[in-house]
Order: sequence, then C-alpha cells, then structure tokens
Amino acid sequence: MTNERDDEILGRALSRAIETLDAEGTSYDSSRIAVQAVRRGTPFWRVAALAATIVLAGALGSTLLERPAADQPVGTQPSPTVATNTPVPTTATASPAPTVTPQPNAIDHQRVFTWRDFGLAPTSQHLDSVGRETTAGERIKSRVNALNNAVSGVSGTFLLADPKQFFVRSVQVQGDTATIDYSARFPPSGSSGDIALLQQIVYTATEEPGVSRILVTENGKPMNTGHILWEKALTREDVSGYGALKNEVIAEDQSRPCVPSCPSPVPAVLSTNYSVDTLAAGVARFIVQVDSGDWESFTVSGRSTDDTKAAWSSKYALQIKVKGTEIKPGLEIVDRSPLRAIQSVTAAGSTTYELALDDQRPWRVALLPNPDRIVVDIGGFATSLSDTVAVYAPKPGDSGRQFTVSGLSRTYEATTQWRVVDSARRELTKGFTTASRGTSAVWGTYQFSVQLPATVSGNVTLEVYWGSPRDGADTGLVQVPLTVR
Amino acid sequence: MTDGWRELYDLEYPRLLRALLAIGGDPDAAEDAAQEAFVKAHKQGLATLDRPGAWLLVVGTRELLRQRRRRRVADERWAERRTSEPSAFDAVADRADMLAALRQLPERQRTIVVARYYYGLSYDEIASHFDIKSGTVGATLHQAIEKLRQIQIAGHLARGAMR
Repeated sequence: MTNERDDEILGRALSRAIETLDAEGTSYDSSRIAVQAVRRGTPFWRVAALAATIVLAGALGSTLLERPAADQPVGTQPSPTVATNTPVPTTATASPAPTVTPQPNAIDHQRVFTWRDFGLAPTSQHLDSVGRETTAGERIKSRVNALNNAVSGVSGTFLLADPKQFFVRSVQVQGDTATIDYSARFPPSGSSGDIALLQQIVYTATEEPGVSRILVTENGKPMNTGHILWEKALTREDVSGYGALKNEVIAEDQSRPCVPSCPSPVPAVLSTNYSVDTLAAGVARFIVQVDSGDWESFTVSGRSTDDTKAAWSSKYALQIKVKGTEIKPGLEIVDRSPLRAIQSVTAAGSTTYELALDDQRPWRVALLPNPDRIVVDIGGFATSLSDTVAVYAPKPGDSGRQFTVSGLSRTYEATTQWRVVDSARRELTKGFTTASRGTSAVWGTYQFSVQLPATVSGNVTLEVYWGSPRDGADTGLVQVPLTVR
Repeated sequence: MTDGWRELYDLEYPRLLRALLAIGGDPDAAEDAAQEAFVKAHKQGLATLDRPGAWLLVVGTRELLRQRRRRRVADERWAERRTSEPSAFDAVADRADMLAALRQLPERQRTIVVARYYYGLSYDEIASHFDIKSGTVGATLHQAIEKLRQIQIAGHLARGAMR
C-alpha cells in the first residue's frame, strides 16, 4: 500500500505530462466569445478575474511553478538570463572536436559527458572552461555546472535550467566518493529525463581522477525527483545501462603439438587501427592486424584501473596480449568516448596493448581473415547486445521496409536465427544465418537481409537469437524495435 | 477593451484545452468544449464566478462528456496522438505512456485525477463541483493513481532503461 505522498508524486508527474500536450488552440481574437463581441463588466472585474486566477495558480503549486525552462526541447537556446550571482563561469564554449590536450601523454580531463540515447552510455566533449581549478571538488563543480546548457551552451546536454535556481552549491570529496549538493531538485523532465541527467552527472563528475562514486543531494537531503531517490553513491557502471557484467577472458592458441618437433613459426609483425562510432553508434573497434608471420596466441581481458596511477589511464582497461612485435609501440591519446588512450609495449616477442576506457562495458573479440585481424569491439546499444548475440545494424528505431542486419554472434554451431514480430507478437517473417564462427569464446560475423511484406506497416521488433541444443529455447535473444514504412 | 476576458482567456484557455484533451483524447472535441465553456462563462458574467479556472473546468468537462457520440472516434485518434515535444527524446515515451494510462481509467476517475493534480483543486472543491460525496474523493483518487502506477511500472519494465 503506498501512501498519499507517493500518490502526490505520481499525480505531479501526470500533471507535467498533461502540460506537454499541444495547446495551440484558438486565439482569443478568433474565440467564440470575442467573435460574439459581447462586452460586459468593468475594470474592477478585470482585476478580480486576474486575482482569482492567480490564487488558483498559487494553489496549483507543482503545476505552474515547476514549469521552468528545462521543459523546453533539448538544444533550444535559452533567453539570456544568466545572473550576475551565478557561481559558474558563463564564457564556456563547446568545441565539437577534441582539441589538443595540453599534455600529449595524458588524457584530457577538461571534459563533460552528455546524454546520448537510450541504451547508450553518455559521450564526452572537451570544454576549455572546466576542470582547471586547483582542488578536485572545484574541478568537479565546474564540470557539473557546465552540464547546464543555460550556463555553458554545451551541445547535446539534457539540462536546461535557470542557473539562478538550479546550481551546484558544493562538492565534497571523500576517498573515491564525491557528494554534489544542488540548490534545488532536478528540473521536472519525467523519469526518462531523470535517468539522462543522472548519467550525465555521474560520468562528468567521475572524470576527476580518483573519484569513482557520486552521491547527489538537494540542500543536504537525498535528491528525490519522484522517479529517482538518490540514496547511495553511484558509479559509471551503475548508470551506464549495460547492467551487471561478468569478467571474461577470451584467449585463442593456434599452436598444436607436433611429432617429433614443430617447424619454428615466423614471428608475427603487428600493426593496429581503431575507430569510434564508425561501425555502429556507440561501438569502438580496435584491430590488431598481422602484417606478416603467424600469430600464435592472444588473450583479451578487462579490469578496473586506478586513474591516478598513470596520466593516460581511465576507469577501466582492456588488455590484449598478442604473440608478435608491434611496429609502432608507444602511447596514443584518443579521447573519443569510450576509448580514451591506447598504450602498446613489446617485450620478449609479445605485445601488450592496453585500451584505456571510460567504464566497464560489454566487449567482444572476433577474428577476420585476409589479412588476419584480431578485432575487439567495445559497447553498442545495450538493448542490441546479449552475451552471445550483438546486432550492429539496424539500430533501435530505424525505419524502412528492407533492412540489412549485421553484427557478431557466438552461437551453437554458428546458427543464428532471426524473426520479425509485430506489436501483438505475431511473426511476420523469419529465417536463419550462419555466422563465420560458432560454439567458441571468439565471436563470428554475420550479415543477412530482411524484407518485410508490403502488407506490413508500423512498429515491429527484429529478434536475433539461437536455439538451445538442449530444449530449443530462445537463447541470447536481442530485440531491436523498428518502424516499417 | 475586453473587460478582462482576454487576460482570462490567455491565462486559462491553454490549461483548459490540455485538461480536456487529457480527459477526452479528441483535440476537436476538446477545442469545442473549451470554447463552449468560455461562452457559458461569458453569459454568466465574470462577477458571478468565484474561481473562473475551476468553473471553466467543470463546465468544460460537462460539455465534453455530453458529446458522447464522438467517443469512438476520439479513442481512435488518441492512439495516433503525439505530445508536442520532439520525439528524439524518450521522456516523450514516458509522458505518452502516462497519458495513455490515464485514458484507461473510467471517465469519472479521469476527470477527478485531472481536477486534483492538474488543476490543484481540493477534495472539497472536487466534491462540490463534480457532485461527488466528499468522503469518496480520496478513495477514488487513490484507486485511480494506483492503477496509473501499475501501468507506469509496466511501461518502465518494458523499456528497461535502468537495471
């Protein structure tokens, strides 16, 4: 049984939902009363009418007073209302491309993370004006305040609020936890909006090295938006949307026992390449290419990292060990979320690549032939990933009638099944494909086409999965919502 | 010189229209009922209206529910309706869910919920304006909100935005 206060919270949320309804109705001049042109009353009643409505507005409280600028569409430029007592710089400018970092051997911490899409973790961008202060608390404060579009003009942020009303009062850092105290409750934006804001704040604040947990309060009390009650300190992994992840190690060894002795392999010469958001939204791909020789074995594993230890490290790292010699060892600062830096070291005929990442998120390893390439893919839409199936295209929400579906899978005997269902879960079309590999820790690639019949239109779901050899149950199911038109 | 009608109209009309849209779901019917409510208020004269906002809601709702023959059409239109925010952001989904959930409530509950939470009317005001026993307002509201909550939770789980 919930109490009256909970009812009130939901009631307010409903009220805000109603407030978003399009009310561009008839203007006064075209209204029936104006057209009737009947005049009555005196100036006294005019005052009385206003007074009465103002009292009513006062009684509404949550409805009218909690309708600040934040309810405007994201990206709308606010009217110039930045106050003189705003506790944050107002000259910040957003730069679309990562600018040159002052130290070439360090990742750039003058960054803010902005909301991206459901199923994706936030992405980061450089801001000249933030993170230059002398204490960790002040640096966190400047970064987090810059999330407000009305303060920094930063693009892509899900926050537009009056900086006189809504600002960071203080930041306390204790151990690995920072407590951010706001002057007011989050601007009303629905539960989905609250989640976006929570992601932005946790990622941006933890950009400070050594800080990995964030607690947010409102004037010293736990932040309670009606959708979210912020009672415990949260890490990036808590809010990334990827859920709890296993620590996996993927390894492959090509060497076989030979009798009496094996011919000595030609040592591999390796080179690397990477991309972010090219293959698919939110997917970072790192490739180790075997330029010559034979690769004998590799191991890929992940671990949390202490970002105060090395200037190029971040919160998480993937380590890729390959037998062979890297032609260009050293450090490369990338700073394109989630991939922040790549460090490679060759010793005793083996190369260790370390990828510095924003956070722990799902990753996969695949092998591509001609030339041999070890491919490590990181991230993607959370809803398009399971531990055995990853769909890179189409992405959730895509529309069309014909779709080319591609991704990675590691399914029993490489058989990857798919079907398209409508909103009543009626099957519209189905099929299966064979991935380049199956029944192994290393993933295989697949691609197939889906053509929907001309009779189908509206919202459908593409499902990719495999049948369990034991009982045929759908396993590794991934669902991608699509629109057919 | 409009004797305060323009001010009242500009202040109250959008709110009334949204409320009627939330209750009935049909933009045309909502517009029609809102216009009629103002015409009735105008005939009465501002002097007789203690709280014009609440009065307009009561009369507008009555007008709206009188147009029962439109109901079937309205329900069909509601299914296609979108809120005014850009669809890029999923708060829209949340709000649309909430409004769709509201439409699943019985007519009377729907009206009371809007009067209470969108218009901020007190239990007593709701009882007297909508001809309901004052003792049952609280229980009706709680019942309605409980149902909204269940529908909303189902929506959240379906989207699985957070673990």
